[in-house]
Amino acid sequence: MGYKFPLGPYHPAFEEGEYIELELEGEMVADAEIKIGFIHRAVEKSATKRTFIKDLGLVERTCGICSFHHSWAYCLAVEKAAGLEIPERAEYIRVLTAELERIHSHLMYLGAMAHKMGFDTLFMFTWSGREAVMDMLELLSGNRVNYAMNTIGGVRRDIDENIADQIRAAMNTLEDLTLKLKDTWTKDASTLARTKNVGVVTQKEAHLLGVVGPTARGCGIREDLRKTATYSVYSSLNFELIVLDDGDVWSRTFVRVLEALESIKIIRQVLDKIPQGPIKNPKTVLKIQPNDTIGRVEAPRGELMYHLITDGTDRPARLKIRTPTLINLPASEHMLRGANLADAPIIVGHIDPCMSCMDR
Amino acid sequence: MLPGISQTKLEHYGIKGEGEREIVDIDIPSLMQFVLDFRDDMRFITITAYPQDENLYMQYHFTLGDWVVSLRLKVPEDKTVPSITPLLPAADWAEREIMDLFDITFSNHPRPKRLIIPDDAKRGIYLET
Repeated sequence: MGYKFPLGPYHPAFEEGEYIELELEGEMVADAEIKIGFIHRAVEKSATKRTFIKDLGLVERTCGICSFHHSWAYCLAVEKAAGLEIPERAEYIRVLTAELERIHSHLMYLGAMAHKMGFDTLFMFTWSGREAVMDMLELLSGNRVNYAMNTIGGVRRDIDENIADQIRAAMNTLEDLTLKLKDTWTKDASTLARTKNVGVVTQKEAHLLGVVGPTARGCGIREDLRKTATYSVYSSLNFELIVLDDGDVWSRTFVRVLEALESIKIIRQVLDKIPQGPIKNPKTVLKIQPNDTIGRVEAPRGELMYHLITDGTDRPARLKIRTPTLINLPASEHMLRGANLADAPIIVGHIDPCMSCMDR
Repeated sequence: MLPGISQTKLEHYGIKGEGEREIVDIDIPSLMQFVLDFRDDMRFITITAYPQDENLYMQYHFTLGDWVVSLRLKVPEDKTVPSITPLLPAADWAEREIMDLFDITFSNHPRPKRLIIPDDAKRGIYLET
């Protein structure tokens, strides 16, 4: 005889509000249903009430972790609609901030996963690295969370040699730390026992569920917008597309460890290659002729898409935000079926859900 | 040319398979057939619903590599469209969100429950001006 087990909306295992109703048979999860919307702020609707430049502040606050990628995807859509060219130096600064943000997000995720597994030493160790990245983001932008780096047509703050040197030094520290993490995630017996063969999804199932980002790449899907639909200056930078085929919690987690190392590689190249020049297109965007554009970027959690429809006024007619969590989280309902109750927080947590992002 | 996709099949829908993005008008039967034809090759991104000139439209976005196609569907007067979720599970939440925010009904959706707004709130909050 099965019974229902409510998890959330506020629960010690969750960072943000979400509600999961598990139908249990003994200790096994027979069915799972997720309810969202606890942090719904109608960002998409509010965006149509503000001008294009004011929307920057709004979309950046959709998410507290991948805030730079939100403003970037938005800027891409607006710049495309307005036909605005971006100076090359600005593109490099955007990539630099984005990759710092990716390391920050992945380290935060790896720490949170360790915490969910009950491995608090690893949690503290991982987050010490996250602190170092946040310091670099603060050095670069003046802010630790919402960086306000992007503006329509470029970036707002430049970097100099002093900042570049400090970031280089931080990258060396972070590389050591991430290599230690790599060691732990491949060798520690209890970590492997909790994550190997848990929440397995095949590549075909993952494709039909539409998953993106590290969640997809951990299921053997070869897709990373930085490589497969390259934007900005990523095509001139040398890095690997990380794909693991196991399709379990471990492989989807380990993808992020390896990606953090690739991001360090990218940042070093950006600092060496960055050209001199202006950081912003001087043209101001007020009204945009009727247009229909999309901006897609590879956020730390996967593909983030902004769909912008303009109607000739100074504000969007419609702005649709498709965050990676919105497509990854329903897949975790699928992963939960047949799992053990004790693994439920790990399975929901391992797709790195960002509820504020998703509810918008 | 898109890798692994039959060009004649694409042209049947008026799609060229070129450039960065294409916006193509589609009707309901062709949309269903499109999903059946390409669900194994293309990845579903999302659906955008929006009002324009007194009408409601929806754009179904699919992608393959660096190419995106947006299939534009005019929503019928009765605001009811068949669901593609039985064919493609990825569309589940996208459709439920549109039910909540734009009050469009997706018939034969396997689980047409509230997703993003509370059960007692009015449907279609994004339609208000």
